[in-house]
Amino acid sequence: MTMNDRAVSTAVGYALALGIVTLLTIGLVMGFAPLVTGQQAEATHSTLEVLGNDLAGDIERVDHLAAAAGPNGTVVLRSELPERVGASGYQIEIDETGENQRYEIRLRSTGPETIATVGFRTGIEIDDTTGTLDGGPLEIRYDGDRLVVSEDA
Amino acid sequence: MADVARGDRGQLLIVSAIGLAILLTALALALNTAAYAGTHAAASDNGLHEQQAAIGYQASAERAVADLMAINDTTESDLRAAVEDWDQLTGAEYARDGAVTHVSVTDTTVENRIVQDDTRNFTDQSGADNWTVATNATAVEGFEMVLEATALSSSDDCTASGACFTLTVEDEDGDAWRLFASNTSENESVEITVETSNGTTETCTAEASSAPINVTNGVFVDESGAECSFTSFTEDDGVTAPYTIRYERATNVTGTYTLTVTGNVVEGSIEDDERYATTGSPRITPQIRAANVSISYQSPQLTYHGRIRVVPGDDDE
Amino acid sequence: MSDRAQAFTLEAFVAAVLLVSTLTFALQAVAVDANTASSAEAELRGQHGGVAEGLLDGAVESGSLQSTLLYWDESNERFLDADEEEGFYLSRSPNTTFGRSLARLFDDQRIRYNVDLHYQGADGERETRRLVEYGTPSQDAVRVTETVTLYDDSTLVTRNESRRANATLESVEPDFYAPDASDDTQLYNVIRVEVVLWRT
Repeated sequence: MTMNDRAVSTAVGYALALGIVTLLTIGLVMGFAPLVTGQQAEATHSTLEVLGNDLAGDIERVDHLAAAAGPNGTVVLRSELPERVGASGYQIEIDETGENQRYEIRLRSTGPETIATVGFRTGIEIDDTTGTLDGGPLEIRYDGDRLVVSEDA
Repeated sequence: MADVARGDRGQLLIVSAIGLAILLTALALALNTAAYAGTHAAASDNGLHEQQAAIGYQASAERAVADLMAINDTTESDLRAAVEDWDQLTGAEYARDGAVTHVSVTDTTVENRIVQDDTRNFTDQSGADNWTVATNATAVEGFEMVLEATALSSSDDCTASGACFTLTVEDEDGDAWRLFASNTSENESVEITVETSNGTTETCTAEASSAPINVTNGVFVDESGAECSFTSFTEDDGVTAPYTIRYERATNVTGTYTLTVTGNVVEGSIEDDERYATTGSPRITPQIRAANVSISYQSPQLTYHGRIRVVPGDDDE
Repeated sequence: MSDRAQAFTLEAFVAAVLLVSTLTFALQAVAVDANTASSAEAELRGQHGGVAEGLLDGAVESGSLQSTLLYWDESNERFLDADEEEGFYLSRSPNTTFGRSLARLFDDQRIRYNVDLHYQGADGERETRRLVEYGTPSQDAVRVTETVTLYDDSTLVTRNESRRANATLESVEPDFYAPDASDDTQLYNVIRVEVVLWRT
């Protein structure tokens, strides 16, 4: 008779324990998932900012070189940006934000969805036909008239 | 009961271990991407290094060309030869850093001052009677002469085929402006006949042993000091730059002259040119006023082509 | 007993699945790039390298760098007041405007430097002559260069850096360290000045 009781309580005990443990694990993971995603998003955002600053720096270099080359000169600089940030790719847009060659680079990543913006100024105009560029190595060119940013092959 | 308790503890251990593992991995990966951003910010900036190298190269090229231009009696071909050597010497050094560099002179603006200050006939230094003073002259300034009466031809026929000393200023289309010098009177006198490109002639006479003439302004001063004006080649609309200036029958005149010609009068070096020398008469002093220089710098990351205008550097000599 | 065994197996299976999925999740999200640039090297390159570059740019513009290259004693075939045996400056810099600026900037003994001159030699090959030696550069040394052009009418200078009118490079060529690499033009030679900086 004692064995029967033990048998039943053992099975229930096991089921209960398993259920509680499963619930705990799920709770743990779900609780920390947003923390993890949040950390990832933050890390991605700061990386995008760094890349944006690198690109702005390279555009400023070409601007400076273009001034030295003169209206009959040409400059082509390769900006070695990585293809991905963390796990996802990203896209780059350059928009004019004000008079006198004030610009802003907008970098948008798709993995964790974050957007970073970096502002800068140039002496020479940036061509406004540049659309959305895929993150990766870019080519910054001065053709004697204005600066053109495009994807590098 | 004891068995069940042991089993529970075992499961709890596994579960907490797994939970910890998940937490740590997640934190690690988040920190990893953050760390990536951190070290990337501190990484070496290749773009800046390339920019400084290209600009530095252009600056040293500009300095060298400016200094070479300022050296006395440098002709365009002297400058080109020196810049070519400079290009080779620096190219070898920059190639070691993985960059291909090149500099060359595309064209120059040279001002040549031509002077004959010994009173002699108007032949060149080799004694040639008919010679070309300058071709492809984009500008002629300060052309002044003093003609003596002694050697002037007495011929009536002062035309292109006659015996008079002839100064011809011709343009690329073949239109010519001419100045003839003669002495048809029995006394000492200097007569000039100016024939413009459309055929009109003007004359000026000075009853003196010599007469000063400003060819660019078209002014002839006679024995009383009065000015006799004539149409200068600069005022002759039919004759346009670039000019070719020639002397013919240069033995039929004596005197002095100076003129400043912008263009490449001497093609190679002055020593090899039989018309001129750096001393004596006629002598030529070229001065390169400006040079257009093409500069290129190429590395795996940067392609740079610059075109600049260089003027002679300050010489502290 | 069979109940317990199945339960244990189930737990083990779930545990394994959890572990594997965690690993997959972690691996997939981790950035592959690793950057090993040390911050000390970056500081050296950025700060001190930049200072050295600025110094060189200024020195070539003002002519004090050329003047230092012409601070040459042609009768003893070495730099003026340099070490008698080596011909260059040992653990000190030349007493020229440029040399004193170098010393002033890096006087802090923790930054040491060598200065080398590179140019085309008599046989058309590259030659190197040391100007200043403080020691042997370390692994993470920074290198900064500048190009100086010398002409046939450039002259050697005296101890207080004034021109010696009778000592043009054209005339002292056999006793000068660099030869006339362009003898049919007014160009004499081109010297690449290389400053190597490192922390002790």
